[in-house]
Amino acid sequence: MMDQSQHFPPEISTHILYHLNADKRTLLNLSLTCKYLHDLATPLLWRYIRLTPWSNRYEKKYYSIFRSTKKKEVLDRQVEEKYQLDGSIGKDNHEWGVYDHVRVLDVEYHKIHWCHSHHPDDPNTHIYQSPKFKNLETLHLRYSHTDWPASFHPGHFTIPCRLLLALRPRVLYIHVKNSDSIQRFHLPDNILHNIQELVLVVGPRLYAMPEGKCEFEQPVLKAFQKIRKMTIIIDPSEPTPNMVGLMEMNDPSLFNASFLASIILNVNGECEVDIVNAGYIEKIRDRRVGLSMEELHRESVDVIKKSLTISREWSWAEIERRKGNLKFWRMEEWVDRCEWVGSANAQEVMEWRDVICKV
Amino acid sequence: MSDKKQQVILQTSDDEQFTVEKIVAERSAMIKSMMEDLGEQEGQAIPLPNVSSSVLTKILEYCDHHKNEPLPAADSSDADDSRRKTSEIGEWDARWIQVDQEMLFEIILAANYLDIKPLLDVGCKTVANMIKGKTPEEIRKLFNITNDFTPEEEEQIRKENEWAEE
Repeated sequence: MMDQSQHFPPEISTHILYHLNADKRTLLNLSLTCKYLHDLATPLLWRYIRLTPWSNRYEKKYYSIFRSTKKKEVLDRQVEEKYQLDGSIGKDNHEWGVYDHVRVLDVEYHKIHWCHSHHPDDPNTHIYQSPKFKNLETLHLRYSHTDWPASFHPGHFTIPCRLLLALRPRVLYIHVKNSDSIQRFHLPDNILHNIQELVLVVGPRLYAMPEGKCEFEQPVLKAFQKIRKMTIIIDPSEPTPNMVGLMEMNDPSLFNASFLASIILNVNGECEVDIVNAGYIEKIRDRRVGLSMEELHRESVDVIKKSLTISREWSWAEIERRKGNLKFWRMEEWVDRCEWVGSANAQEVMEWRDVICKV
Repeated sequence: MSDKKQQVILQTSDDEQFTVEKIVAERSAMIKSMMEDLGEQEGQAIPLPNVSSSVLTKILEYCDHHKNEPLPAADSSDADDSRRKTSEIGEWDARWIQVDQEMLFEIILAANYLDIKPLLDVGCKTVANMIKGKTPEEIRKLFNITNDFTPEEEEQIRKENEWAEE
């Protein structure tokens, strides 16, 4: 009588599991109850993978990812045989197919041997294939650690990073603590040309952009000419050191604006640009003045729009068109709109929202 | 006469008939489209062979409470889905859905059959909350699931997913 859950149609069970999407511990427990739930929970468990250097568990995770790929060819053969025997995918399913479930790969750091990136002259190189993540949609790259991640391994500049080079994401997140670390960002053209949407998460800007400059390197900007949508988020969880000293000499309210404008000026004319939390840095500056976040947000919007007008020799129509492509969001609005669901880390986004609500 | 038009008759699996306000019955996208198909044929009962009278009574309570809210779009996209998913269960709904497990499952199945999206969502969220934080053994007990893994398979899954145990 009560074994109905086994007889819930898969679409209902999946619906239930979706509510547990962020709760990996529970999803794992579900996958251990029986084969039916295992097959439904596994895609959700592997949907979002984050690779960071901070915990031993993650090292185990890498090993579990890369160790099993070594055996992939053997497993493929076994699976083929199994298909012929009973027409179903056997218990080896989770061993070879898990990478195909990965939609979001969030890379902060990985060791050279984790991606089995050996020197090209090494005859063993071809044995160690990195997973293809062939259904990958979103790649997050976090530049909080020195020079990571990049398409070459730091200290081994002739050794390409196989993990990143094999990926063809449609959406790219670049997460930097300070906007000047964007200079370090580069990926090979065949990855960049595939990108349709860019999400840039940056800490508050501490000094103004020189006129006519952009932190992105020229080849990167050129590749971005193809993107259709860009979201720039001023990350509220990044501390803003030395702001007190800076304030007296400069006007920090212009720093974010000058940085944002430098990017907006370089995207193609069709690209929609969403700007989230542009008023944040002004709030820190003006904490004593008591202007509301709302008012400061409006102020930055004005500054950014104005900079479009003066920075280039565009026609009035072109300037209006560019302005039309811009959308400004307060952090809470953007979070509650939920467009990030599925590609961003829910916990992180909620933390941003919390920070903003406390300011 | 016009009053009569606002009513619809529903017939459950145990052959009970319910006369229901049209606006209440329309919460079910399935009944709504059936009413459109039947057109003006008055007094004709709509058969619901997958729903018992006890479950329908309960569900009509829900539909009646929410009858004045806007209907979800018929082709609500994934984005809409995810939006709903992040919200909590409303206070009235949470009290209303405090039923025994058997009834809860039947409500979910009926909500799926009748195509009442917000109700299906409330039901699924409630079950998700029941599962949250439980061990595999506790989940099996809860849903009377038989463990069909060999100890080796179980060990294998644990090993592969070790990193999930943050």
